[in-house]
Amino acid sequence: MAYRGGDGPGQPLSATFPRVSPGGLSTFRTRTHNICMVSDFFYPNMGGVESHIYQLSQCLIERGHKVIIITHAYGTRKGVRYLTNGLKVYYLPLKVMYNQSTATTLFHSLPLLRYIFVRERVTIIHSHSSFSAMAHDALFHAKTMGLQTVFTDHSLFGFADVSSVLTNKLLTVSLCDTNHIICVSYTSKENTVLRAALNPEIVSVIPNAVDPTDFTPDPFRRHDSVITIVVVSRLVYRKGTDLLSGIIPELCQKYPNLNFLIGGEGPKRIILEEVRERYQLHDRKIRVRLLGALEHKDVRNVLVQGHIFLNTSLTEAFCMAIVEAASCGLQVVSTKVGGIPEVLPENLIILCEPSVKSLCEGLERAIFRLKSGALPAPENIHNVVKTFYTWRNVAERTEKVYDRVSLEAVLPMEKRLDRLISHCGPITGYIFALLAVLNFLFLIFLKWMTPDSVIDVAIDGTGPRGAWTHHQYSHNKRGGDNNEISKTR
Amino acid sequence: MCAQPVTNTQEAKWQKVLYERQPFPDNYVDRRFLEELRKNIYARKYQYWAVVFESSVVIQQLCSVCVFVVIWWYMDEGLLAPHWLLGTGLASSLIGYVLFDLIDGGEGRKKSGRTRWADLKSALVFITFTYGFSPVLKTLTESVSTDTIYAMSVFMLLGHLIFFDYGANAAIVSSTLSLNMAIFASVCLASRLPRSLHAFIMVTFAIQIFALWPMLQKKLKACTPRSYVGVTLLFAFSALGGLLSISFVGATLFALLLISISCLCPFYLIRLQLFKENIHGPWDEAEIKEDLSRFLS
Amino acid sequence: MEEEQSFSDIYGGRLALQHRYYSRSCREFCLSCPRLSLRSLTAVTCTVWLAAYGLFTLCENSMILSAAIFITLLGLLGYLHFVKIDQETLLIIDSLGIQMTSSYASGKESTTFIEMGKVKDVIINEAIYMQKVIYYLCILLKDPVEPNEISQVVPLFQSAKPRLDCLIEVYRSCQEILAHQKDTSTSP
Repeated sequence: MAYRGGDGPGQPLSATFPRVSPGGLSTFRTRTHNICMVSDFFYPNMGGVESHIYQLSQCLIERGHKVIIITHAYGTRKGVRYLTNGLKVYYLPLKVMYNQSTATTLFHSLPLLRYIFVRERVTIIHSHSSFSAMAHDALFHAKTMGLQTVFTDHSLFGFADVSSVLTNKLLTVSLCDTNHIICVSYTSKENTVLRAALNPEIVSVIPNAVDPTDFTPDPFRRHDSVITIVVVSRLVYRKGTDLLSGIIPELCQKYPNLNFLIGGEGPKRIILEEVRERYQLHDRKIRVRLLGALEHKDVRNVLVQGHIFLNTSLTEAFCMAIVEAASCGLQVVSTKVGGIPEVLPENLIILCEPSVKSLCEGLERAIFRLKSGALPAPENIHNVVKTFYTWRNVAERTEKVYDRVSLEAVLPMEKRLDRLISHCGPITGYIFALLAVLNFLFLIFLKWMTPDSVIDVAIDGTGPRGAWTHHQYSHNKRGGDNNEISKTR
Repeated sequence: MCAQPVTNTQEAKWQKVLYERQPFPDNYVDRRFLEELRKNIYARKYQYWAVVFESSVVIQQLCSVCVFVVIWWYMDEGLLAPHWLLGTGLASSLIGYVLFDLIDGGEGRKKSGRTRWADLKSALVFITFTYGFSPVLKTLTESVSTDTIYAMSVFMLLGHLIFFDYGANAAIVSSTLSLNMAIFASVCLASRLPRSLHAFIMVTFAIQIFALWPMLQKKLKACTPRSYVGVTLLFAFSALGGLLSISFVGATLFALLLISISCLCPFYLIRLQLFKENIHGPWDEAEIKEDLSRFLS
Repeated sequence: MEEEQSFSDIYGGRLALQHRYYSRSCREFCLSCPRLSLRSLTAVTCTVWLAAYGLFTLCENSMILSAAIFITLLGLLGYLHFVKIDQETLLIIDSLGIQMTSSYASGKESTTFIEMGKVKDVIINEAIYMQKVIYYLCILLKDPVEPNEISQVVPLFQSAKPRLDCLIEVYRSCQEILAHQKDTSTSP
């Protein structure tokens, strides 16, 4: 649909900004995509989804695709911004409702999203995170506009309570006509297939990755006279901080030369402080140190100070923290929940049941191994781990998904309605079929108001052949935006 | 999907790991897919009569409300002398008090460490205060119209039934709120009675039937289930009888309600259990089974 | 030298761009919208009067009719005098500065002048406007304290809102003059 309107005015661009020489082009793939990542979660918010989107986009740009990101405005950060390599980010002025997720009416975001999809000539919409309302909105509109859709699920969800029943129903509706779904682990795939009642063939497993150069070991930073256990996580119930509060006194009383180093902030910090107070673990020398919230760049400096990394999560789709720790050469002790058993090979991780007793046993085994000196050097562990997960690999595999999706046909309206009604149950199905029809009518109205030919095609600024990296004009022209880049980075 | 030529797909065995590049496409579905799925592992099997027995708590509470309203109606119509109600109420309270200790052989009292003297004191304090304030109660709602009072009482009694602690472990349960709503309803209704003595006796009766009677019931149910069934039946029939003397249609409807709650609802619960499909697997949030409070208390 | 080109604005309406090349260092761009058409004027007046007549039949108060006449008249005056901009002119003179003039339909003109010393650059930027993402031309002003910083962004052609092809046309000419100005200011 976006391509159809492509030969309106706005084409003089190609004359204004000549592309790089054909020799340069030959290194790129023959088929490139215009990808639009949509999620409520992006920088300056910090987290796994945010860094996933950023890193994946950068690697896709490196491979010659055009990538833009759409998210909602964060405070004063609204409008259009550019990040490294001309990665364009739209911060749309939509109302934030809860937990950085926007409110949804299914319709109000259509005019803006449609305008952006058309002006950027987007062919594939890639939404992230099932908690993001904007991601689902974008999927819904993209299907109405006849664009290909991909969705990445980053989280696990149970089936037990009322809230999960409702969210799972919405996920079913949202994913029943999505072209392809990506999950970060096999457990996550099983979970998503069950939640959204999907055909498992259209669900791919592509793990997250870690930048191995950021997490290198440094054995001189740690003191070998004592054993240090590092914990880096948000201090909340789901990350098992309660278990940690049981492990600390148990082990500190047993091993006099054992220290804990805890990075992260959260509502459960208070119970750790209570434990420290009660067992007087900070009298002469500090045995339990709480570092508070850590910035991502400081995580490595904390990790290398320890010998053992402890993860007490109660649920986890793909645990990045344990990969980071292993990459820094630490022994990893973790609970056996969610996708964690799939992440690291058995010789690099000690898996325990989510209980204080089992975790203590696991830690004692790690301490014993450490004392017996039967451990490989951190440098060797790093060299093994760094081959496991790289963003380049993730981008390559995601690209295959795009290639496959771009060959598929988008369901036409009548088939989409059939799918909704047959797949989502009689009541929900009919309601959302009606909404889809309304959305379609709204789109026709918008096309009548501002036809595709009136919408300017945006200048492609991504990647090495981006508009302003090769041409003197373009360089000047983008002066202001370059300034903004330096501000953002 | 996979670009690498797949030569030995059949021989290579798929592993559920992410760190190895496997000769399978990313969307490969193995036979082991969903093998860790478990269904209904925590589902409970219900026995019909057991559920009927448990439903008697609801019946009791409905009957309490019914009896309370019937008594109020009699008072309001002047068919029931307040002295008579006071006498019966005091007598039954005494009997209940004695029973309360007799049922478990005084164990509950030993555990709580409450003396009889303390009980007597609080009873006396309550009675004198209510008696002293009853003229105030009488005039408190004079400026409010009677219809409003009736509507408010209905809402409050419904709220009492909704928030009452029937033994379910739900967030909505709040026994204090439930008791407060019932007392508020009784104050509202009492203020429409002819004299302040009536009002005093009505509020006292409300305390007896909404606060003290459920306590005795709970103990009866725990210690002597058989007699509890008898008491429930007796109570239900007396409530029905009382209602019958006022309105035949009301009594019929009430009887239907009681029957459907005690007989039909358990039947449906057990029938619907067959359709239960509760999914469990490795994605579930782990529960901490140990008691961690020992580290903190 | 003068030439005229036809472009469209972001709503698809027609715009006329007039170039006037006075010399190598002095150019003028004039963007003019179509004048207020009789058809739209009649349409608005008729709707207001019909609505007023509808109200009149409902409440039978003749005040409504006279009020409607006043509202249309005052509205029209206000619109022509404060809202409707017929022409936006950008005069850029090397070594002197940039002058922006907007002429309202009533004939009122408002002029802003920015001297060249304050101008850092002229760029095309993107912004989210209503339910659209549009390109617009703007002047970056230097911060008086730190010459490398930007203190303010002055958007150009705010009412006409031309599309990108028109903006590029104007932008190129501006860049030529700015480059010329830089050459002359640095060479002596």
